[in-house]
Amino acid sequence: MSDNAGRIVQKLWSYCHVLRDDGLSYQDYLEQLTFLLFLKMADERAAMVSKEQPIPKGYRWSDLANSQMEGDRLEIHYRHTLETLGKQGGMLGIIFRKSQNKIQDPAKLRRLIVDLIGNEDWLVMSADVKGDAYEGLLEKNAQDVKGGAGQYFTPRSVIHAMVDCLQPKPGEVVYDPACGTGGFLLAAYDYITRQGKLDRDQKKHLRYEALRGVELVDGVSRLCAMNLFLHGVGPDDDDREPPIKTEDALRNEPNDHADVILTNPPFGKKSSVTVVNEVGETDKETLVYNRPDFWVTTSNKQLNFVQHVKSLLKVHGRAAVVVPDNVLFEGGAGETVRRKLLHECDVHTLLRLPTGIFYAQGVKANVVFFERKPGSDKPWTKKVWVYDHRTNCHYTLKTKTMTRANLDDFVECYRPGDHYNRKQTWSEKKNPEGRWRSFTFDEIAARDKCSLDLFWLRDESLEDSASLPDPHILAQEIADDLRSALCQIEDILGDLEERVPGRVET
Amino acid sequence: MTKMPEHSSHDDGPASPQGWSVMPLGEVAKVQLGKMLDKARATGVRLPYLRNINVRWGKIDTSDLFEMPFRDEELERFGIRDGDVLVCEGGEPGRAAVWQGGATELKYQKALHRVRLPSGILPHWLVHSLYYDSVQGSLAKQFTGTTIAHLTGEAIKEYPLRVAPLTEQARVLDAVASYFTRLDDAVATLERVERNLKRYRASVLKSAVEGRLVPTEATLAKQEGRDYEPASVLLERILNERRRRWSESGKKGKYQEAPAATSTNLPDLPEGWCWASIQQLAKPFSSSICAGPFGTIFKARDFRPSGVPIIFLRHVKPDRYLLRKPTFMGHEKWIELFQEYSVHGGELLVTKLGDPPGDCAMYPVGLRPAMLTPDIMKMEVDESLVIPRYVLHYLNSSLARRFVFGAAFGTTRLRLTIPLFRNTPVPLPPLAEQARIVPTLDRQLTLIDKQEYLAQTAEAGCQRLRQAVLKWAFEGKLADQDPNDEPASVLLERIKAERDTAKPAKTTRPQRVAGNRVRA
Repeated sequence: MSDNAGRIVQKLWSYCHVLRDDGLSYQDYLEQLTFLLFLKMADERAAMVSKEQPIPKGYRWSDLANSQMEGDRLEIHYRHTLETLGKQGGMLGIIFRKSQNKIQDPAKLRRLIVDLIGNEDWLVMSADVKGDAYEGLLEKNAQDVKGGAGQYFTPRSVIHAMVDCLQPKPGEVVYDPACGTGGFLLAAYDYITRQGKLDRDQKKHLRYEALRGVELVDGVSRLCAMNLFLHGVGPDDDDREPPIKTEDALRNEPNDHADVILTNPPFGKKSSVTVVNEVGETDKETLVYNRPDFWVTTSNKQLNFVQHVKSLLKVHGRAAVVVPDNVLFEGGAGETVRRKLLHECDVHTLLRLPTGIFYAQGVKANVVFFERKPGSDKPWTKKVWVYDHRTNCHYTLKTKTMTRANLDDFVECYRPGDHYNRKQTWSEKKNPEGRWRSFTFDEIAARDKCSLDLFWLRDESLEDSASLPDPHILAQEIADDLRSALCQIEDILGDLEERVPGRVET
Repeated sequence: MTKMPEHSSHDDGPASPQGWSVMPLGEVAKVQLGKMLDKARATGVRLPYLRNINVRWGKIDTSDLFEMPFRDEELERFGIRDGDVLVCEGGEPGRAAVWQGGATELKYQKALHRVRLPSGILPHWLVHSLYYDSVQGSLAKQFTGTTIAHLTGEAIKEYPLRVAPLTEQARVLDAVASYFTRLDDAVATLERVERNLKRYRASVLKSAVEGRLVPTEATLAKQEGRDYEPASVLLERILNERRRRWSESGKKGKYQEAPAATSTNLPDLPEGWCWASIQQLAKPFSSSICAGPFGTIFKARDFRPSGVPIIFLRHVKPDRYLLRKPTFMGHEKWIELFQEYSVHGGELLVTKLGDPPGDCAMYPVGLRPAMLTPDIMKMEVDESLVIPRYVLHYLNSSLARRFVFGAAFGTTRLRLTIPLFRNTPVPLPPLAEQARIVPTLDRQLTLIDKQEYLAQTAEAGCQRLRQAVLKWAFEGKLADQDPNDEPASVLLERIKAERDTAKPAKTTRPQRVAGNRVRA
């Protein structure tokens, strides 16, 4: 983050603390910022290109920032603005749908409009500055454990390693069917812009066509669209389709297909999604999707996402998907999905991620890399290369965070762009501690339930106290394990409760 | 189409789910006992075979196989193919697993039944059913034998198999596999937690005796701008006092100075600490450290059903004095011979044998006196120098184990002798620091005990949950029922019809219709 971005984040963030005393959550604050910033930038652009702006007359920045707008009048006008713009289509719709004013005190709203947003020239500010400032706020929001926003936030080190492995190219469509606040899409955008100079068509494609995301939750897709917008991605008018859609990605078979899919489907409880319906009631729906393109019907959300990703890929398209361990070992539907995936796609790489890197607690996760292939009688997967970055790796969110450099060895082993030319670092005799090892299709197919839950390194916790870690490190590990066991058992409980006849929703 | 008799209707158990039937296993499956090894007719080709121990619940372990000769005509008869269910005849009768290893030359012997099911009944369905009934106890109804239980060929054929519609079987098995694999994961995680709690305990102990658990006296004194008594000064003071008291007592002979800690390569200590020997930390009289009496006077024939408790190895665990399986010495014999080998409360008990030796517990205050066996030492700690529970924690730490048991002395000993014990070096903190270490450590260790108990309970809970999941599975509650599924009765009828056409030569139908014995 540049100094300037840091200064702006600091400024915006410290004002957030003022508003928090009025009961505003981080997420609420981010949303208000989003609405106002969008209006301010539309205003600046209109002034610069002297073209009619897409915001309807009477609901523009100039109306809000008018010095006559004070007290109840400001509050009422702001409310009407949000309502009106929420009914528009395109980008406006994405940004303003179901928007509400959460700042009850007009004086504070006034200060936010005039002092914090009105005082900066956002349009001329480089995308790095304003985009990074906004992302900085998103990350702070994710760290706010109480808000639970953490489940939408993938560690940046993991995102960048995944992008570096898949190497998205100019002209390709990059898709994230569970895009959260857009971390993967922006990392892909950065990667493509860093690969040398783009021509005019490539730039245009990158801005309007290349990046596509779907997000289930209104509030989150709004933040995502804004995040992209501030980085210069997506239209600022209604002429083009916005890059983000707010919908349940799993509901329907996809019409469009992607060259590259990078995604981290939400962890969390499976099989049911809390949806707030039109009248504001909380609906807990059990989601069983009827998708003819799926290999198996299951209530396991992550298994459904894996099937969805395969459907979304073009033939020879490439995907990297963050999945919890359950996808690798779960019997029943999980086995069906694994066998089909190994058969119809080339599942070439599995990265086992360490614990202690996700804001969502108790998560044990992996990245599965695969390519969709044309129909064939023989399985497309010949070898699965596994990189164990979990056994005896210790990270925490605060004191020992994982960085992109910690994944350098993996990316080097992966050999991006040349992944048929790999060498194991593991060797039974010479280097039993090697973290990079391949397994043949036959070896995996013969495993019970076709489990991909592969480990071979000696777990230090099985050793006697020859190298005894300090108590706080062990306590951390125990806490992580207990959380993970808890998540697993709660997940089982969730499924069992579904089967209790005549259960009453609480 | 004629309707099959519903066998379940005879039963007093809960009603079967819609569309399910119950049928003796022998009516639908081919059951074949394995080959008996006959030394007299040992001809043919030697081949590996499965025996009882190879068949675990749900899993066939081929890591330990025996071989025996099979004649040509036996190859098919005792052969195994994918989908065969192998069921233990004895041992844990009914324990079963499905062979899924593909084509194999493996055979099986007479402690196992091979159950070959028709395509309408899934092999894992049978295995889960047997497992459920085995744990619930209802499978025992099929067992014969009074002392050693068997599941004979006749008995297994009468086993009442619940049969769901085929598609429902598949749905149930998928659900069971999904739950079981997740439970496996949770159990494996909890086992890791238990192992790590053990390491955590060791790590806390180690940090305590290395001066890292609480702020050191040296640091605090510096912060608070005061003096303190370093352990070396304390030790010197107490040793001088002992010498003075000895000379004042007017005892004859030369004063026996307790030898100091002599071992080389002692690690560095925190400021204010010093090394002392166990002998220096014991009370200054010869029997303050001693083991139980030798076998010449200590005889099992003097043991009595009541009297003075005798402390055996089994009673002394790290920081635990156990009261299990007590043995007693007659009171009169004790008065006569063993009083000096006794403990009264507050002494440390240390094991001389074990893997490793050196476990230390305190004999609780408030029990009546007990006596030592030759395998247990006691130590009476000089409390003016060191808090007994500090010595106890130290002796149970990995640091002390290094001195007592090996590395520090270059050899591996399975026996801790009294001289070795007396010379064991102890890192001695200032008294005030000991008084902070011990309660902090005691608190932490009780918390770890509680966590261990919780992890074990949760793990046991997961195993019970497996049973509960199977209960729902066989009550039809785990997966959805679909009225469009072909009912089991129709399925069974078809199976029978196929079976009858497959062997037209045999016209006699099984005479035994075991409906009235069936239990659901």
